[in-house]
Amino acid sequence: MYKVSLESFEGPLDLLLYFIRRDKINIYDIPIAKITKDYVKALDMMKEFNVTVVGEFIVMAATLMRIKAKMLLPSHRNDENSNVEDPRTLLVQQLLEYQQFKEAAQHLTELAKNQNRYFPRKNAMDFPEAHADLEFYLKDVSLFEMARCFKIAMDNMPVISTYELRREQINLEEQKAKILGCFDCDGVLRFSALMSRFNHKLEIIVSFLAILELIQQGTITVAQNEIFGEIEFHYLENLA
Amino acid sequence: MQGKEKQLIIESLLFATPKPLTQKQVNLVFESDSPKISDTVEQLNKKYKIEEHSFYIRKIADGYQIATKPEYEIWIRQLLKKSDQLMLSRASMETMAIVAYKQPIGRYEVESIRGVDCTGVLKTLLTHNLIRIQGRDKGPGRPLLYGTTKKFLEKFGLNTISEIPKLREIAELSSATE
Repeated sequence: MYKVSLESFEGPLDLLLYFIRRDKINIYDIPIAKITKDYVKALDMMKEFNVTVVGEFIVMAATLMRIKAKMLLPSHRNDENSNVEDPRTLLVQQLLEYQQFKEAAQHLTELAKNQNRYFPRKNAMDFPEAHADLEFYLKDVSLFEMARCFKIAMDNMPVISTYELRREQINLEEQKAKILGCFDCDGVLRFSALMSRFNHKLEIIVSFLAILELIQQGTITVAQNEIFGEIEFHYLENLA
Repeated sequence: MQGKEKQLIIESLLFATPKPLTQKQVNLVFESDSPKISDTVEQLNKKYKIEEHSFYIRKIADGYQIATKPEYEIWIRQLLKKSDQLMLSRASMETMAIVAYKQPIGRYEVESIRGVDCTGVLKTLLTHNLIRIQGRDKGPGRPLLYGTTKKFLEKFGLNTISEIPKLREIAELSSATE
């Protein structure tokens, strides 16, 4: 069993700010040992989701550990410079700056929301364009979401208990063709519908790679209508 | 040409234009002796108020446009069947904010503030015409510098970039988190 208790974080700084808010930590006096522990735990959880923890998160883990180590070492006082800098200073500055813009982003969101309430005259004219816009926004599915769906698909696989050794050779190109064949006439394919067609791990893995490749080639796109909702693939050539 | 006639001409321009109407455009239309758009708009809005209309003329992105009043939003949405607000993702919003406040700014600087790769998000904002390339930095590699566009002002209901809400001072922020 696994539990989803991670909000989606925009990056390592966001994750750290979450801990600071959650534990009501004084940002100028961050308990490095504790926050490092929490942080590494969160990374482990991401790994459990089969998400390859992105480089930036790992860099931050290393930074935290370096600060921790520096704080453990006795600070040798320099006679000329008796003011020994707190090893956390740089991180704190970074966190504060990020928070500043996180807030600014919220203000901007409010502004845009307010602006959405006014309908200028031009609206009637470019309504189709507004529609296309909407689709574009929906395509903003995070890798995290994709990986989560992938994990569900993996977990829902029947466990084969019979003693059976079999290894099917699955070819990436063939799998790509197979997936493209699954699209309905509208050029839409639901993630769950696709996954229900596969019955063993290797096939799912290769399919996942195939999907990523198809997206990269620009043959299909991904869309998600709501948070944690169904993910849909759209066959782009169909639109043309 | 009488003042009344000019007023009606400006009204027709406002009615027909797909983008906020500027004084510059008005000057082009009238060639000579063009009326001051801000005055005309004031007169028109007064008229609309007396006659009780569902729309009025708004100043936005350094121009003017006819727009419906916010209280009719729900009815218009019924008609246009627009689902919820068109919104940018959080990542896009954060990047948008950083570019808006720190422009001109390079990708590297945006990334150092957000702590994550921003290539994709910047591209999204570029394709939406919310930011544009303003030039290149003088530093090594001459990285591209980004800034906001007129469409950004329109989408966020601003007249000039200086109207964006002030960034909260860092000192204030830290006292709030404690």
